[in-house]
Amino acid sequence: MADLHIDFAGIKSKNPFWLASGPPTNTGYQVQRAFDAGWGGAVWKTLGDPVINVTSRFSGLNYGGQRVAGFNNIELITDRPLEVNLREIRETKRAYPDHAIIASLMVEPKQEKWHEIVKRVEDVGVDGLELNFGCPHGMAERRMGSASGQVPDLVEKQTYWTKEAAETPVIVKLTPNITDITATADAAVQGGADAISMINTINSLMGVDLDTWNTFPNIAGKGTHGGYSGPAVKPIALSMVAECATQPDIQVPISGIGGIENWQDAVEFMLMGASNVQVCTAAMHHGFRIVEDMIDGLTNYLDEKGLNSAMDLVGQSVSKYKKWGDLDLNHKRVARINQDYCIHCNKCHISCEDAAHQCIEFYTESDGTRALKVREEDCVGCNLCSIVCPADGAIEMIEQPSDVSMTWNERQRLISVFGG
Amino acid sequence: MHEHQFYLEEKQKIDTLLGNEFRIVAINENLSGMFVAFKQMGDQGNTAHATLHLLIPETRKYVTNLLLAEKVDQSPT
Amino acid sequence: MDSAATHAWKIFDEVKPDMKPKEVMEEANRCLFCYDAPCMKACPTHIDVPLFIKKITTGNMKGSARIIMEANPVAATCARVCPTEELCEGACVLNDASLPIMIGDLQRHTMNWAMKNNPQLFEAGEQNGKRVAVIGAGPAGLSSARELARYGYQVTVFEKQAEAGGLDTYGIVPFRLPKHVALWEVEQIKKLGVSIQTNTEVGKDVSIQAVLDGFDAVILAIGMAHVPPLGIPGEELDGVFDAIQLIERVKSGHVTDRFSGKKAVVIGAGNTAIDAATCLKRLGAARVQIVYRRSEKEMTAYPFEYRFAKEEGIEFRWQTQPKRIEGDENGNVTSVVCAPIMLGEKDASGRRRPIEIDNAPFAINADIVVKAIGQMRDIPLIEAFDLAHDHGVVAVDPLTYQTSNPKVYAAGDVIFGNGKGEAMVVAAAEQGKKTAQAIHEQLLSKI
Repeated sequence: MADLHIDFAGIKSKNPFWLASGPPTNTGYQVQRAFDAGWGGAVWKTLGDPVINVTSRFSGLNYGGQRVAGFNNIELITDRPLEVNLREIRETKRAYPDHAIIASLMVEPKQEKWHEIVKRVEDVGVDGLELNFGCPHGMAERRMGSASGQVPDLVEKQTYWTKEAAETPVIVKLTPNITDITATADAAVQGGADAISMINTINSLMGVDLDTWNTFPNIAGKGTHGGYSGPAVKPIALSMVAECATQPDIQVPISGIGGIENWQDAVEFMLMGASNVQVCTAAMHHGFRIVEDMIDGLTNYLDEKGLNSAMDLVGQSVSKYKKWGDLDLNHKRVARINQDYCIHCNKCHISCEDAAHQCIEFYTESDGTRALKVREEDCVGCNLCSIVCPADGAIEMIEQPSDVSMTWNERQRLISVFGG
Repeated sequence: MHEHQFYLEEKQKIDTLLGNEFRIVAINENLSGMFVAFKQMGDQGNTAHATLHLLIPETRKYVTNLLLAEKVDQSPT
Repeated sequence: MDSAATHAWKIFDEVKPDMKPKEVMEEANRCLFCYDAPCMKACPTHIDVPLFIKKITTGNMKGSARIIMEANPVAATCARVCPTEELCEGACVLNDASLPIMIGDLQRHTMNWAMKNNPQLFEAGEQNGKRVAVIGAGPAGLSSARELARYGYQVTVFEKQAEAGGLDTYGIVPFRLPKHVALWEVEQIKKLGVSIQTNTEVGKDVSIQAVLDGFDAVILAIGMAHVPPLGIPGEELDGVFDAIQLIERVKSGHVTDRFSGKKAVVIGAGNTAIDAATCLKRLGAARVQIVYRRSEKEMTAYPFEYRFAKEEGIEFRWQTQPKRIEGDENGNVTSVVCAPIMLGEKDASGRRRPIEIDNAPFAINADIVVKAIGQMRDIPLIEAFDLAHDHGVVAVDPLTYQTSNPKVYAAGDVIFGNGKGEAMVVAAAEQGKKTAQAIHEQLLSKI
């Protein structure tokens, strides 16, 4: 049976599944329940000067009858005194020595503030530190969270201050509310970070009530922007992990966060360069028990693939992630409709007709029934028809590999010789 | 719209020129598409010129694939 | 196989099609993944239903199969024969909000995957040196054998039939439960090192004393026997069948044209009666009538079975008591003479007592009569073991499943008594599991 142990920047954990800093890691009671359920580690809800929260705090995006496709929160960091959290961290670490506990930290961008909190949390035996440069709401208005995480200089400086005092590995958690995440990732590395984690939540407003015209969520009729998370953000998080993993200058381990809710999501992040993953929204939706299938499913997957260790997955897909200009223009794929599986909803036809290249047309079978076929010579292989097709197997995308590859970059070099 | 037909038409023009000892001598791509200048370089000493205005992406790709495959003389004259 | 025989087998294909892949994903994703879920509590074997469905959604089919079979060693059978609307699906919280999750069909999907891919889900425990004999390879016996093997016991199962599986192999019509499903479950248990000795009847091929002396514990899981006599004249006529034997023969591949075009009367209105009736219909019977002395309300067949019978064109004659079977000069059945019945006060079983209306007999024309009025008990074997019993229902401690002989345990239909629980495959499986646990606890001190 495959080994799920990971070594993340020197932090050992019996599996790659950590709870991300957030409401599920608010107390020792919760973290201990999580460890009992099987989580390999937990990043404690961000420590700092205790806040006062508002009610309500969360809202969910339902899509097509499914709840929590996306999730939005305006809850701040811990609202409990540091001593209380430290006491519970110490107790939890003592009771669960084989589980990783990471302290998430957020203080004002001042050297002495970082020095003080680092010393105090390391005294109770945490395995590592995670610097919260990410929360987009509330704390940012106090120059913390994403407000400092959006400025590469501040990221570098605060990481450096932390490293001055820290004895355990320092993970810098990055905000996605920035044009190029590699800029802040690089700043973290320059500041001496041992690892980076991403993404924190994304700026969002969940919705507006059509009857009352209040925002979701609202507090006495007023709302504010919150942090977006859940399955909907996964592709954004995955691309940011990939961007960092493909940067030669960024050689530190990456902890993948954002919309992960099962072992399949975790595998994707690991293939794209994450050495472990963190989960929050899925645990809020279903409880800590979801980790059972994450562990079981990952184990079965690794066994099926003939891999001995979860670490063998890390980064396997990174070399496949390229710039657009390095993609082969000559590669062709075309859609083909399998009449045995087609249920005749005609959705492929109308999406191709109205939104693609008008190459799926009706014809009449010998028995008089109407069916659809692809005019393959005009098909650009865009995938739209197979994306909208509701019947498994009805549309197959057929690969037509070319003998010679020609990328955009190669093409432009060729043309430049001719003055083009 | 049957874009493939337009591609075949444009491709045929290119192939006809190339089949008559024309060579690509200049390429210019701009907002209007691709302009490919041909010059006849036969043994008989003909020096006819021709310019094709290519609109279809597949044809514009075809031209560069010809260059890539060195089916035409790559050195401009 | 000639074309007629091929056709005959086709009519015994499973009535209910497998779920389609898209249907599976839609349905599995509809499951709410409840915590402390009522479906799990409603299942006699307590399968973690939300978890096995969650695993379908994540493509972890091996994990899904393990969760199901951990709780229920005969889960492929149960996915097909359980009265789910009375158990898991009946308890689904979505019953009130929308439609219940099709748990049985999803379980069947996972078990189909397991039957196709044969993953190794369990391993035998480290041998602890203790030996247990299981008498009867039906669901209760198999379930106890599987659990004991996992605890590390050396288990020998004695089965008098040619193949293991008991009722699942022989007693449930193939269009509801194909034989290969039950036999696959048997294989999974054999893989754990359990020795299953078929064609071996305890008390005949192996002596009772040898079983009692040769093992550290014995589990009696012999189920029930054949249909008792009706006790009316004409029972010996040619054309009178026992429902259990009829289904057994069909399941063993004996498809005859004996019933083609015939008029059949099935006596009784339990699940076996419906199985026999629908079986006859598929075998070509022109008309099949179920005759029952009480009313629709008192019948013991599950509602879904009753619905299925009506769909298949089975006719029901309520409040009708067969008095005698009449035959022609060659000894062939010609009719069943019946008396109408009215229903009186409730009896001990809570059902209204049937009272015969005198002097109003009428005849139902019939070529075939099938008896399906319950099953007999193997009292001689029970008494040969010297076990306390009530009319063949072996008395057990409800917690430990121990009989009056502390070394002998009993599970399954052999302990199923009037009005206590239901004689379901899934209940037998759970009793087998619990018996194994009880034996393990008893013998643990000696290991």
